Amino acid sequence: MADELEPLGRSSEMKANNHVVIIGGGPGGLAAAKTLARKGVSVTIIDENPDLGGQYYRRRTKGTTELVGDYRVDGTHLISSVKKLGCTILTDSYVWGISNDKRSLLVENSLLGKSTRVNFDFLIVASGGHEIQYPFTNWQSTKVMTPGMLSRLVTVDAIEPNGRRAILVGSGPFLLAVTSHLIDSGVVVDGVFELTRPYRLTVFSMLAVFFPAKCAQFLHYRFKLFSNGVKLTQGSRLRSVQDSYDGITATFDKRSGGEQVVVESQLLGVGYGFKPNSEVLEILNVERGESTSFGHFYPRVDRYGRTSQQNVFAIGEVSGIEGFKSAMVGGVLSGQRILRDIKGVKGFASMYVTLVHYLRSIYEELFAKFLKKLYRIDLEDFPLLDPEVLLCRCEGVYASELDGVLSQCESDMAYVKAETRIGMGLCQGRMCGTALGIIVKKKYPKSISPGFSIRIPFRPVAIGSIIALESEENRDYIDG
Amino acid sequence: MVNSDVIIIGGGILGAALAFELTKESIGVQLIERSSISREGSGATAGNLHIQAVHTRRPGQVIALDNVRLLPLQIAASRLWDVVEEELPEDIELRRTGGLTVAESEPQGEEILLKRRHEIEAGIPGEILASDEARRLLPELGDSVQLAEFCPLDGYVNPLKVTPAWMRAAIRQGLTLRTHEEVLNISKVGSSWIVGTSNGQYACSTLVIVGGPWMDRILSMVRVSIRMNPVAIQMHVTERMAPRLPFLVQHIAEGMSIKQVTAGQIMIGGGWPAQNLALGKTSDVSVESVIGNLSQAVRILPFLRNVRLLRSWSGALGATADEMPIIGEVPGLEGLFVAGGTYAFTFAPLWAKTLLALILRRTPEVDVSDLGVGRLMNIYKSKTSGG
Ligand SMILES: Cc1cc2nc3c(=O)[nH]c(=O)nc-3n(C[C@H](O)[C@H](O)[C@H](O)COP(=O)(O)OP(=O)(O)OC[C@H]3O[C@@H](n4cnc5c(N)ncnc54)[C@H](O)[C@@H]3O)c2cc1C
Ligand SMILES: Cc1cc2nc3c(=O)[nH]c(=O)nc-3n(C[C@H](O)[C@H](O)[C@H](O)COP(=O)(O)OP(=O)(O)OC[C@H]3O[C@@H](n4cnc5c(N)ncnc54)[C@H](O)[C@@H]3O)c2cc1C
Repeated sequence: MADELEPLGRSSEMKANNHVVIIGGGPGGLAAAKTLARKGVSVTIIDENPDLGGQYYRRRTKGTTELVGDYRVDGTHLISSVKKLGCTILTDSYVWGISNDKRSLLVENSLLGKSTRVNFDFLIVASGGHEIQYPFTNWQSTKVMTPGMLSRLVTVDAIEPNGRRAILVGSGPFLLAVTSHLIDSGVVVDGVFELTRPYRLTVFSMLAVFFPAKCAQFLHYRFKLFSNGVKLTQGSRLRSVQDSYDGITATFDKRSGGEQVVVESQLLGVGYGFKPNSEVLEILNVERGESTSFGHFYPRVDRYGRTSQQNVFAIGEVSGIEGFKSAMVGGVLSGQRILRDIKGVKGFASMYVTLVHYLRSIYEELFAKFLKKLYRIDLEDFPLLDPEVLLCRCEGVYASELDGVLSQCESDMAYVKAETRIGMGLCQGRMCGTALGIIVKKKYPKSISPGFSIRIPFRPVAIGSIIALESEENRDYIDG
Repeated sequence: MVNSDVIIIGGGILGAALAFELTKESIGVQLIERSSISREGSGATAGNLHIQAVHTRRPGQVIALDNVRLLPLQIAASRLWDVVEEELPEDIELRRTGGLTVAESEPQGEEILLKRRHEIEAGIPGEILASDEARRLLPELGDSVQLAEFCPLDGYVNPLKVTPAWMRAAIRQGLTLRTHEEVLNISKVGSSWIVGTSNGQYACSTLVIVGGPWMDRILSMVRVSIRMNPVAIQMHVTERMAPRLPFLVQHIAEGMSIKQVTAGQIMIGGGWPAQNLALGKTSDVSVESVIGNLSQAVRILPFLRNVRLLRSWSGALGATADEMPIIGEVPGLEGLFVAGGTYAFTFAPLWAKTLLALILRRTPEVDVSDLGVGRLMNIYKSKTSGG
């Protein structure tokens, strides 16, 4: 995000058909859809889940809602207003590729097992991110999951938490938020282990001065931990987890000193922030923004979410902006920008909305920058993997198999992949890719570890579903 | 300056196989590769050993290749592959379970019968199967298959294993391997070739260019211009599944090759074109080719419909203007050899042995005089003129 960015790509000329397609039905996508549909623009929202909502406004199933009530009611309102505005909503639909002319998305409906093309004039990529993991001994245990998954089980799916104890491990403000949600749902938290050392007095004073509202939110979380007797440990790294009869034993190294900390619990949630679901942007050859310590792909965007490709926007988590509120601000701004492109500037009200959100977005960006500094992870923070760590779970490759390969790869991940099969399995490196990137970067600190290259399909898709796309033009090549 | 008898430019399968043959004869060899070994066509390849006659065109290919000319070379390569595994200590996942070529119409059936006649003349074993016989051999075959040919010699080698294995064996025999070093210029001083790279200068008496689709660029460094027709073609791989497809399956009229590899995945290819050719980068996979290739695959092997596609990728193939292999000494430039062109994977052990013979001024076991460089050479234009 940078203010001074020149408008990226000229605004499109008036078209007969100004159809906007939004990938992702989270807070960002919903806000954009609402902004546009209210003004009569034709909008399609695509989301892989059974209902809209994304990470933050994930819906409870009907049965669960009847039993325990609604979850995050403001989300319910937002979703129903988007539905009422007549947007085309494609749920259970996953975008797995993009056509050669880059004007239509290839979308699989998982219920029908069929793919279709969805054409767009404007594209808003609001596809969010997924949680990052870093391997340790026995991370494949069924009692280990991401904080997001843990929180989802307990809060959204309302799976009976009684007697459930958990440890939260990782990094980022998100860890405290999840812990707080879990405590509210009756989970006993046996400890929170933050990899970095963000919680210092100087930090709080700065927070209080510059971001008082955020500080209050933070103190609220911190107080909840405190009053529930949850210990927050900073600067510790997870070494291993052992399964026991009814739980787990987690062992942590202290970052500074030698002594180990051993904690018993029943479940463990571990995550080090989010990796953007940037496949579509990468395939579209959108320009990269600033590089981050993990080397993830974040697009270069202006404050409206415009990318280097004309009429392609990226907002919310996928553009590197954390938090549901910022995602919604981004959604409104991208929507306003498209309205302007389609209809020209109309009316004071619209300018006012844009201005308010514009200012809000500056504020959120400052805060995001502050957080990024605060939770900055050095690659040093991650331990070298013990040889017995299962690095690639799909193909069963252990860390020991990196011996020799790493020293020869010259930071080329594709070479490591070809030599070891890491990342060749079902998840295509989604789980281990970031970790391998970290390992490679530790070995070659100067490299810009590019990660695994993106290819279609972004996720496995049945061949029958893909060939449902066949049309007459494809028969050109066939001469039999 | 580091001297050696031979310098090889290009760390693909041809470079590795040749380095192995040369070092076995105690010849001093340096191999120079711009990136890591086996990262281009030799890593992206389908890895099929095509012994029965190949179909003459990839999808979209304009000039047909002369598949009858290739037959004696294929049977010779087949014999050599039999011993490759014995010579290499590592498992290269060589499978010689045979291959089926199918026809879906009467004219296609005629084509198979004709092809079979040529194969008999070349001494390639095989058998024509009526549709019910073919289905008995491979019950997975779809209804549209009317006739098929089975050749027991077709096979597969894991490309991710064979080039590194050959290279490691060559290193044990004395090869000096220089990776992440790009050849930038070549000159001749007296009877020595001087190769300048991003890292230094090296001298040799014999220089071999096995640079795949970059062959013409490297040759332009010695002011030779040849006509090449490089293309990026693509591959598709499914999730793993229990053994279900014991043979390589091909189509007589359409680019198509399908097999199940050792890891259990099914690889689907056939030379369908990628969207573009981006040499040195990754060429974009074409959705139309994905759909086209997979549609024919499902027609021939309907069970694939329910198998999930995991990934697609593209790779650059250094095809020549006449779509035939290229191998030999460059006319007028003594001690400079090249090899490449189509089916270089299948022909790798044969081209290695042939180059060895040519370098040592012996008569090669197969006649390759008509596959030399001269037929593709342009009249000298300028230093940088490409193909
Ligand atoms: C458990 C949990 C608790 C959180 N708590 C807080 C909190 O308290 N406060 C806060 O500010 N933030 C919180 N966050 C973060 C917040 O959820 C995100 O910042 C926010 O949801 C980002 O919104 P978004 O619209 O960018 O993306 P998302 O909400 O992630 O939505 C993206 C959607 O796109 C879908 N999608 C992605 N790729 C494709 C594709 N190719 N095809 C189809 N669909 C696709 C995804 O499935 C998802 O539904 C929390 C996150 C989690 C996981
Ligand atoms: C998708 C695909 C499927 C295929 N399927 C089959 C098949 O099933 N059967 C078959 O027989 N054939 C197949 N082929 C063809 C065959 O695989 C290739 O032709 C063969 O692997 C080429 O090997 P090579 O060593 O000649 O060239 P390459 O593998 O292309 O290697 C050339 C090397 O030279 C290096 N280089 C280039 N310029 C320089 C420089 N200036 N300095 C230093 N190094 C340089 C490159 O980096 C590269 O590593 C396929 C090809 C592709 C792309």
